[in-house]
Amino acid sequence: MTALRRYLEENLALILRGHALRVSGIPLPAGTTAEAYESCLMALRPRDRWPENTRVYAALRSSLAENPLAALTALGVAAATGLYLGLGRAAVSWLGALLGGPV
Amino acid sequence: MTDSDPGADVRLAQAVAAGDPEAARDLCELHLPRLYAYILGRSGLDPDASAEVAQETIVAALRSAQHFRGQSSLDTWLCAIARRKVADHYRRESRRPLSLDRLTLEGLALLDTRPLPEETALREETAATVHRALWRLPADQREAALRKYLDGRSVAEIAVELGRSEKAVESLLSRAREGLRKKLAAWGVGAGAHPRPSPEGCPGERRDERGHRA
Repeated sequence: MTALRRYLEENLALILRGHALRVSGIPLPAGTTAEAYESCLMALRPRDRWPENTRVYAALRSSLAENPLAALTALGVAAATGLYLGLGRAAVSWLGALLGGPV
Repeated sequence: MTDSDPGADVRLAQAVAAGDPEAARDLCELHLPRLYAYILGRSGLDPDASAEVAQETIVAALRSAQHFRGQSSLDTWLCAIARRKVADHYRRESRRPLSLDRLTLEGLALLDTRPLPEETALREETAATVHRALWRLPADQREAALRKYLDGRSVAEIAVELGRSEKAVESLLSRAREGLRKKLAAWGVGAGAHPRPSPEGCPGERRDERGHRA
């Protein structure tokens, strides 16, 4: 095993460095930078499907990226408030019971 | 990859995250060539595949630019993404059957018993096979092996770069060598293996100055 290890070590360096030397200086294929830029523009393009094209979605996505916990907490509070205002106290109680809180 | 101004890197990443097309152009023009050279020298992929992976890396970086905090240089961060993309590429490639010509198989079989003839060690096919096996290893073993054998780093230096103890790095290198041996053996390479006839590939096939098969 020691002999194998030694020979493998010697040959690995030879193989890997030989390859690296052979390919150093090979230029970037023509058009690669332009293609990459086009791909970037596609990725940056605002989506035109609902709800991804809404400002609320963009704001939420940005908030989630910066501070996920705060964003999710705010979303939870907003959802609970909307539920209360829309469906009344009974709906909030029902939700509380569902989540394991006091009825 | 050289370190760039950390402030400039963070500003560029923030501009990219904000969706500035000019920042995206700067990202491509400033970083793509070096990223490509890094991938080409380290991954064993041919120039076209390396360029493809470099493009995928740039787009992935653009999508996650808001996570770049400047704790490393932008180049270092891009290289980390590139390593994952190269591994993904090899995972996709692994579904295709491996084709090794006879001389490469015989040459690699010698690894078990005697020093590799330089001619065989320097053949492009040998490098491609070893890279393919390397990039199938777990990331930590692969990085330890590349830093030791390609970059010529000492175990102590690798330990600092990977944030591990020297003993842990020795273990990684040992497992990497064993993993390489097993993968090559599974492909029919190694002591006692019978070289499989290859449906394609002639010894001594030529390449043009761009590294493509002529």
